[in-house]
Amino acid sequence: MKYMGSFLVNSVPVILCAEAILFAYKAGLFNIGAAGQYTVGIIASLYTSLALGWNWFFCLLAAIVAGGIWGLIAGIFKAYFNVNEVIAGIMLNWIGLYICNIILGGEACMNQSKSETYEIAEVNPSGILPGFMQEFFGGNQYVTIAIPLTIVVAIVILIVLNKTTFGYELKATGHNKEAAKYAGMNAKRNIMFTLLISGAIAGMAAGLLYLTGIQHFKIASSVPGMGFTGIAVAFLGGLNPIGTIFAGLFVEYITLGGQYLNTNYYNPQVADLMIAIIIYLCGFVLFFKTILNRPGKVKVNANAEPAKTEEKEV
Amino acid sequence: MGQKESFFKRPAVQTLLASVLCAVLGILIGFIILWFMNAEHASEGMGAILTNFFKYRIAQRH
Repeated sequence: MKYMGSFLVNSVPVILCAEAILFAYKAGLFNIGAAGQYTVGIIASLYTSLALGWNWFFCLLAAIVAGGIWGLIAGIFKAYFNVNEVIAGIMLNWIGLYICNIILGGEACMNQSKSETYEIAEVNPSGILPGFMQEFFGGNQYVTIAIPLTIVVAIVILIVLNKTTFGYELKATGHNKEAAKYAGMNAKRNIMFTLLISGAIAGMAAGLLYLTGIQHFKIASSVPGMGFTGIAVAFLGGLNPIGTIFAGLFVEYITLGGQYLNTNYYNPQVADLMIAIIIYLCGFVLFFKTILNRPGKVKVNANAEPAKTEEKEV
Repeated sequence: MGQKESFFKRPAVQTLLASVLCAVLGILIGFIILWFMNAEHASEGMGAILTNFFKYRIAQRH
């Protein structure tokens, strides 16, 4: 159970990034900027924890706010200047990454000898998320409230999208912006809110992972793949918030298992290739669903006699 | 009276089937690639991917 706990903690960001993408997708927006929102979530959570010494709650809040603001920027561009959210998102991903490298690369957060951020548990123990059922998971110190919070977020998204007027408005705006506007909905506000919430969820994903202390940030030359993997996970989960939890667990299961491929027989890149292929195939869910949903052929008997109809006398 | 919907025509069932199909197909294509690269150890490699996730190392702080 000890290792199961680490597996679950590592699944948290994948699941939440997928939830962020799913939320935007339901509202007709393709939030490819989730990776950037995740990155600014890393900045906010680690900087407030390591440099400012804040409590875990405020660090997590900072990550959520930072991710939300990053999403909102793309939302404002989309709503007021009709800039495609994919283009804005991709640009913001890279801007976020370089800001992240600059801020977290400083002496306040980065251990220069190890080239990775300091251990939160040593620098600021109050910055670590509270534990959750650690005894059940064999005393695994990384099992924190991140796991139940992820499930709560998925349930909240499910309720908001399916049971509230706000969710209905978001979906209506996504289906047809002009029709929603005609029906009296504020389409611009809905677009901005969608990307704000989506970004906040992606930022939360980063906060929940890094505030457990299981991972340290290293200077990166590419945008974290979490945001992109989230796209495949969201589709594999059938664009359902609960289905996405299971899809996220599956993808993480394959990712972690891939690290154990024997490199004596295979090139180390093969593990990544395998994972990439499986994740890529996961994106074909809608295609297979369309095939399964094809109506069956109706057999027509050409020799059949026409049905007799009774003629009523007037 | 409306016609009863077939079990396999339900949207939730179709989504589940499509997802499982994708996952299985992904694993299958992955296995084929492993087989092409080293046929002798393909099944062993696939077994490592599918069974080793519990061995995830990190469980204690350094």
